[in-house]
Amino acid sequence: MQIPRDDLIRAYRTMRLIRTFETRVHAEAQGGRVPGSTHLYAGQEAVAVGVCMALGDGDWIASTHRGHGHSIAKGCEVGPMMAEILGRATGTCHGKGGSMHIADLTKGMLGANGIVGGGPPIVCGAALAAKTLGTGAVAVCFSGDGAVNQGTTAESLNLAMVLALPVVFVVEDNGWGEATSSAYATAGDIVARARGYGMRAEKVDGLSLSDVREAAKAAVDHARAGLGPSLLHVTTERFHGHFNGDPDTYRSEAAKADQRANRDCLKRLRVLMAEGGLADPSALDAIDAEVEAEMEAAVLAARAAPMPDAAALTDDVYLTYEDAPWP
Amino acid sequence: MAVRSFRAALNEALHQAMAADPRVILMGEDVTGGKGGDGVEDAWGGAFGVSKGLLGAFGPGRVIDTPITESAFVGAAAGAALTGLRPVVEIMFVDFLGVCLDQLMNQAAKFRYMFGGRATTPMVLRATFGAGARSASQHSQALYPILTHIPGLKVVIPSNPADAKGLLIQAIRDDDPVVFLEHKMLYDETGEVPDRPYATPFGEARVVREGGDAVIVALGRMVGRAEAAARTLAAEGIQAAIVDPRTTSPLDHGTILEYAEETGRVVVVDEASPRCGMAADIASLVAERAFDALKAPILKVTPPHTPVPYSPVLEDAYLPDAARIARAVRRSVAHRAARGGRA
Amino acid sequence: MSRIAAVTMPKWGMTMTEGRVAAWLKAEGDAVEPGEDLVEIETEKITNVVEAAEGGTLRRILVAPGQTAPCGAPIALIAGADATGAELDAVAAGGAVAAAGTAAAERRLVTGADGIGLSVVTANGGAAGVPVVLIHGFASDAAVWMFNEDALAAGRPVHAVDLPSHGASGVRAEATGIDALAAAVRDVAEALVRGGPLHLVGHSLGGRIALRLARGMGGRVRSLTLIAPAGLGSGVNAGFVQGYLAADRRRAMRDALRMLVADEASVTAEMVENALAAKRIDGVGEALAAIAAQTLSPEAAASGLDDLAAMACPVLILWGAEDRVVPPAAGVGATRIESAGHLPQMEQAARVNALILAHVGGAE
Repeated sequence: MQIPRDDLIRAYRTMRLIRTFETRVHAEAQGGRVPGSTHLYAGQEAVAVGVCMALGDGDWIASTHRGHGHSIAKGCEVGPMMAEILGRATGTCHGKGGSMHIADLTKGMLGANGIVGGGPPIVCGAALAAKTLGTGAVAVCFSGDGAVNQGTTAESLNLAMVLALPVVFVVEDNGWGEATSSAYATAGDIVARARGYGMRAEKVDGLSLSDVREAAKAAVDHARAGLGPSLLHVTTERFHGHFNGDPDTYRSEAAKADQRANRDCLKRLRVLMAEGGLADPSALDAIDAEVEAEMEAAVLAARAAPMPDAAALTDDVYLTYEDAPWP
Repeated sequence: MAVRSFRAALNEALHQAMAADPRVILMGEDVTGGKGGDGVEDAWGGAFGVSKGLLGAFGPGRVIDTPITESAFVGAAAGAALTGLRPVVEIMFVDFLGVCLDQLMNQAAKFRYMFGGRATTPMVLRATFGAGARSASQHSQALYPILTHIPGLKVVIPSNPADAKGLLIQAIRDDDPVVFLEHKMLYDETGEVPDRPYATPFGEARVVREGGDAVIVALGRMVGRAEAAARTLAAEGIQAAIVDPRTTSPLDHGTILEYAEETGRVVVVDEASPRCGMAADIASLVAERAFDALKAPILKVTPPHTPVPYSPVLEDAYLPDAARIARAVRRSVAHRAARGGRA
Repeated sequence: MSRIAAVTMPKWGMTMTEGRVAAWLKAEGDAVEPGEDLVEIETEKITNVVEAAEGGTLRRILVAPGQTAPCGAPIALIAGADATGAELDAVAAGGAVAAAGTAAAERRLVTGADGIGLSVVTANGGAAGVPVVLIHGFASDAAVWMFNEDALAAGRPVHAVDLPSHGASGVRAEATGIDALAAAVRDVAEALVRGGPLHLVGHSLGGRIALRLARGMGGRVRSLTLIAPAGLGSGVNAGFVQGYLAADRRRAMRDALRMLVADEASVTAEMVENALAAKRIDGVGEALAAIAAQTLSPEAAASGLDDLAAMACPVLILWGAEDRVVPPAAGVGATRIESAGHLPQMEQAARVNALILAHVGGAE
């Protein structure tokens, strides 16, 4: 494997952190402590982590409603994230956004997005700014298989090519757009669509961290060299339903069991690392335990954190607004 | 100071703002025109000529022609604003709001709030609006009530060249997302405009005319019509004040209420569609906060609740004109309460 | 045959070429006394009322509300009841009485070594008489002379300067003290009079500047007129200065401007708007604050007495009796103008014009 061992260990840790985070969010939701809905990323960790391994602190990502994994992979802190999901004042967005709007521009995370297809234009903008200001940054758009059919995606692919923007479109195809399979809802081939715009594109096995990382690195390097955008059609699997209230009956129990047993990217990485002699199971177990402890602390802290003050309701609508607004 | 057209005043504002700050970029359809052709560059300088000459002054890196893809480029402006640029993005007609509303309403307007104050979106969305050009239903709307309705957006409607320049410079300097609306029938109107850069604050109305008998609150192109009505009324001995809010969000309710209280008779003129419009909004403000000073019901002069028609006879009947405004003021002045009431 | 007097479109300010009749305040057939409000006239800059200069009957209105007419054109006829229709027709058809300097005034920018241009508007530039240079005061501009320029331009050029960082002049961040301001005005004056003689008229801070300037130019200054000048010992109302500098909204600016006049109702919404717009030009606010700090402070209150004592030419000092901004200084021989505040040249224009003309004429 070409990935340095330390990077791989770090990647494993981040993937485990995402998995555990999502498991804990699920538990909080089941326990009635999450005010709204959540959309869990468990099962897709290799995509977020593999892509973000190719990015630096100055690069940008935008995400979807299923954004916890991307946020963590880009460096957002789990404590404030958990607090945000529980609606607390100490949350990443001070309780103003919730699960679907977690953002941290200091970490280059332009936000999870409640609108399917909301991200691609914004990422084109970040890429335009990077190009205009000469920062050398690259902007990555994580979209789902549902968003790929949105008008905004088509427009953004076109715009990124026309303006030669340093963008990587990562279409994270977990097979399901809400309760409808992508096989049903998507005509033609996603890679062919991108190539129809003259864009560099490839299909990637999203269960393989190294495949994802390799493809991402090539696309990011291409963009950073000023050669324009790419699209990665990354196939992956989600373990939970669309959102926390989804009984997920559109997939058979057998299929879901098979998925957990045989198509778990974390298990695959463990196996690969053991086979490659890069880490023995006990070392990885130790990481798992550490992550458990970190998440336990985060959840307890989030549960204990204060709710926002009532005055926060009218904060931050604008930066300035002369005259008291009426009403 | 020089006499300039509304269009030239806007052009000057863009020039001066772009010269002062390299982060300001202009993007939209045909803001230069001629891209990819073998004819002249900067063929249009904007569909209405507002951006002519900017390409030559600042280059294609800062003056960007886009494909006809409003969602993508309005969203790109929002994303660029989040990450260090100060984009001025243009949609050719505010009627095209429908094809990019999500990027403005759900994204740009809400980033600051949703992200807990940890983001700023210093973008300006410019668009033409308004009826009178015989452009029919899909190219003649006002729609600023819809925009005013969205928390997180500032909405600016200049009525004359001097305000056009000062308000656009302010919009570009403002760190919040601003929608800047230019009435397509005002581009050729002229007026005195200071040569140097200046910023006119938002949330401050202009008192166009003083008068003690009634106050006409008017926006955009309706300000000129209110002035014509006021001249007619003055000859009849009725002195009507005119207040031009200039921005609907923030709204200078202080000045509106001051004149409502002073005159007791309020007429609001608004060319936007009447349901849930600015006339209704301002009337509600006055009714709630100046009720005891009122000597007559608040009157609204608006179009009927129809799409904008095509034929000139119909379009002219659609829009409020000076005669209708004057009639409303006379009605207000003539009003006597059914039982007793204040004279 | 009774005398028929034409009421003509006035000329307010050098750049006014036409005005619009906003409303007639008297009807045809009404008796009119001298000084009565007759008609409301609207221009680009200001809306104001014209008073009847003569008594009689308003026999004919020639320009209806909403219509415009050039400066000097007849807009109504006042006569006795005995004037016949034919006689009135004859006068109405007689054409415009050209007001002195109705030919479009010339606006120029005199550019200094620093590349900053100072604006000056000249009326009757080709006339042979000794020119008059008008210098406005703090937070004002050449428009303050709009009711005076026409009268003063009879037979001589009149030049109205905009001080640095005021009006249409560029912002000069370093020109904030008396010497720098006087030097800037001197550059402009020299470009205009080219070594020749001139009369100086200065208002408020402009009066203080005129004193310093006159001292430097010696015998070339034939007469000096100071209207409510700063620097003669009475100090400047700090409340006005601070209020003006701080005012960024309509109401605050209106309150500040009301201090300038005896009749508060004469502060129009338009004046307030123009004052705000002038301050909002980039750099102006900072420059004005610096000018105020250096020239209108208590320390500067009597700084002009020395220059005044050194004046060789005739000096006329006019002061509004109700001036709350620069109170009338004692012991300088000022002529009091009743019913006027800090802007007597606007508030009692006819009287001030007569006094200046007499002073300028007497000095030649």
